[in-house]
Amino acid sequence: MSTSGSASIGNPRGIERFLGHALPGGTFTVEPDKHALFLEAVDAEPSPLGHAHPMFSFIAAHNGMGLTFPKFMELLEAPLDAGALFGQEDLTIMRPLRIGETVAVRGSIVEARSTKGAKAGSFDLVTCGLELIDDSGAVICTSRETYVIPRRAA
Amino acid sequence: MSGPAQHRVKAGDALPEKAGPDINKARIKMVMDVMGDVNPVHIDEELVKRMGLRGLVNQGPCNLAYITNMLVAWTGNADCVKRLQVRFHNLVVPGDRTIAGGTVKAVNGDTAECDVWLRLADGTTMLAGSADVEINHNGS
Repeated sequence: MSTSGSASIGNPRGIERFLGHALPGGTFTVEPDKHALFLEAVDAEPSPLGHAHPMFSFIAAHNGMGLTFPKFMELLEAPLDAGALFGQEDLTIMRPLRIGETVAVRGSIVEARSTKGAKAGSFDLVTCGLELIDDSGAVICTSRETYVIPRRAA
Repeated sequence: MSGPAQHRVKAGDALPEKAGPDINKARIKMVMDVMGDVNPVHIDEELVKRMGLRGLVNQGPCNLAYITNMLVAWTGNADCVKRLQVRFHNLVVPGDRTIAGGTVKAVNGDTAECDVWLRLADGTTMLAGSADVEINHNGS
């Protein structure tokens, strides 16, 4: 990457080159304490069946993809303070996660393109396509999470 | 488990609106702890000021959860959400009072296809999209 100081975060080689990039993947466990904290934070009732809140499927995919947020930004050659945000989410839940359950996560970058908005200026859109896989090998959730990454001029 | 959604759900029905919780720094910090999230937009006041944002950014999964909570309250089924597709239009920040709602677009068997949204009291849309929701749950 060509840079000239912290304000220079352009991506001269093009974000498109990350299309198809396999993410490391990993596992995610629905830890009861963290799940309870999330319910408190979003003011949700616990499931009477011992299932995790549906948004924990999203969190499992996001957290289990094998890259921390700083590492993900590093991969995309964007600084941690670039102001990256979620732009879109497409979550399909085949079955709910159970509290205490561990699932495998696998995925790749399925969309990567640069664009420009009248208000937002130049930014990259990067979508990770992720799957949660249970002990039996079944895919129990898919998640396509799209990040908006502002790009300041190099 | 049964819920109000089981009773003659039809296209055009408005989903019962549900107000979200108070959004504050403490809740944002809690979710940072849950997610191990170190994105500075959730904690760095100077950064969000530089970016021209209204305030610290409430996490996306929380905003989705407010919509999910509305759907769960409607159906009486904590596992009712089968698919959720949303676009984040505006950032939710501490002090915002959100309202989640939506409309039934179609009913196919046990699934209601719904338009869903998260708005502020002044009508500003923060998130909008669609959801496939199970409406005839047998409690198994």
